[in-house]
Amino acid sequence: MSKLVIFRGDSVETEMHLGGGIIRIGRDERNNIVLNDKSVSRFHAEVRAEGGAYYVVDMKSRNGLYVNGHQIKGKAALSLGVPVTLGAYELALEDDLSTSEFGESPHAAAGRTVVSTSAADRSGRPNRSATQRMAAAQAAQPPSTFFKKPALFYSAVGIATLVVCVLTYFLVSYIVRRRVPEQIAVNNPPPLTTTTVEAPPDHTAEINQHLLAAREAFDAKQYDVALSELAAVEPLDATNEQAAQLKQQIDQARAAPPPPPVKPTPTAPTGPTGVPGIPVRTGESQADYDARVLRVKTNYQDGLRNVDRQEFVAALAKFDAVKRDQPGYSEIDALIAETQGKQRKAVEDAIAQGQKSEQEGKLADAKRSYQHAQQLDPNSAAARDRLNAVADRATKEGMKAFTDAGVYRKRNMNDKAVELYKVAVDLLPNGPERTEAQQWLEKLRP
Amino acid sequence: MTLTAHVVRRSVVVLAAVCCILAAERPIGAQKVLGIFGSGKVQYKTFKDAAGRFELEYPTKDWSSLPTGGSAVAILSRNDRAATVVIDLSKLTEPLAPAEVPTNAEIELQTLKEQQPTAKDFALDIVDSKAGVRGSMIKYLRVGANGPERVMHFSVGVGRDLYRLDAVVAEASKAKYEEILTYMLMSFKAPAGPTGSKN
Repeated sequence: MSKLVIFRGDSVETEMHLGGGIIRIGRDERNNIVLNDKSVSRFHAEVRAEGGAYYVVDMKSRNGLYVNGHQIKGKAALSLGVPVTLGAYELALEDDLSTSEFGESPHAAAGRTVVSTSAADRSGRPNRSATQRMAAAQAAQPPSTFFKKPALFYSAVGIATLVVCVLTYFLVSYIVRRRVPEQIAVNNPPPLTTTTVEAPPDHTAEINQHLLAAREAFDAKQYDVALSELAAVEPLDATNEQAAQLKQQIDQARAAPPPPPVKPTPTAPTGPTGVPGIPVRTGESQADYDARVLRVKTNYQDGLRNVDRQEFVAALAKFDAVKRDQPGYSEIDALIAETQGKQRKAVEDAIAQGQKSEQEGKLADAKRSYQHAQQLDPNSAAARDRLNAVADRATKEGMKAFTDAGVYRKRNMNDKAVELYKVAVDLLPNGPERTEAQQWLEKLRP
Repeated sequence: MTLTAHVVRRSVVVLAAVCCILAAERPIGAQKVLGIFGSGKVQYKTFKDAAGRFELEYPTKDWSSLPTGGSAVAILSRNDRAATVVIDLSKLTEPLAPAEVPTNAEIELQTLKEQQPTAKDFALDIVDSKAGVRGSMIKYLRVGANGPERVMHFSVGVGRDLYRLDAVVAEASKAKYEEILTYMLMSFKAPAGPTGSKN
């Protein structure tokens, strides 16, 4: 048995069991189902049972009759789950599990149903939401009926599609994750030795410097210094293995008397743990070797940077350290000779510049040039002699400028005083006069 | 005897000449005490600044003081204007140290040269006045309104006062008045320290 259910929005307005007769629907009181709404014509539609099927007939209503969204003219079959729109209302043919016949409804008993703006109250049944409606319909209907309801069907298809997509995504992700590491592993086989320091990229240099300093301090048996250097590593990389190893060595060295010094002898590259150009020494532990490799590489790079900055003394010290750690490393002897040549050239240039300035009477400039030459090579006798000579002259002239500036200042000729105080500051060595000249400069400068 | 007397006379003359030459060629910068004894023929009296800042002697006869203006604090002049001494005063921010007198003299010389580009024959000496005040004496020749004139510029710092005494005489009358002017400049005397000028 079927029943006709009338919805307004999500609310069930009324329902009526279908028998074999005609059910008239409209605003007029003479209809079986009265829908009191202006969107409904007085005699809007009829539902008829013909040959075991139900039909809905448009009674030439003003707003028309729509079956599944298509306006009909005349008669159309009424199918289960196919919505029929009638003004602001919607009709639906549903199966009725009860055995009630047409007219058994309490409303039908009266021969007609009147629905107005609050028809739910009149029907005596609570409103149901669309979800509730659907759930109830699904529960009540067999599978074949379910597929005949488009809304439920499409919703189910949508949900199923979504579930399939999600499952596919997870499946693909899983496959990709498994495949990528395998490819990386195939393209990049693991190195034979691992000597890199595990640290954030931006701290690597700093960590290496601390490690190097700690290692040098350890070698010099300055354990406190070494520990303080290691302490500086900890905030940068708390899990640094080399730092831990070195700390362990320091602890052991402190606990035990130092072994007699053994001069390490270079050996041929052996085993998979050697780095090209830095062979493992006989009896050298992995930790010592790693530390030495780190020292050699760090000193080498630092030395090159020093050369670029014309810091030849520092560069040569670094290269010497490299040579001590690994004689012949990366043609270190040639590099040292080349650096010494650059140092000599730079010193000669600075001295020449100083002499030129001296001839022009620019003693301060000359002094600076000779000082620069001495910085480039503290052992340069030529630079030292020139600096001493010009320093004497500069001091004398600086003192004269200082005295003259004082008189000009007392005579209120401050421009000239400032000029001379500048000369005095330039020429005088550090001392009370130079300090006073600087103070006057600050006072008198506009 | 006659020959011996002749030789002695000649030797005395040569010795006197050598002494004169040596006396005339004192090195620059050497201290000089000039005109201390003054001119025996001239009588002097003391000019005292009305504010009590300084005093100096000037000839009793034919000299008088003139009205001042600007930075000049006193003007003494011969009545015929053949010779004049102008005393100028400026202020220092601090008193000059004795060691700074030569530097101050150099600055004075430089300043004069800059102010009077046509002047020439500059000569600088560090001198002590009769009152024991050390200053710089710069002599030079310049062209004035009435022709070339000789200037003696005596500069001396007293406390925070810097006095400049310019004695000017026509080049033609230099021989006649130089000694008097020198005496006047060297007689300059000023109290030092806080009791000095309030200008």
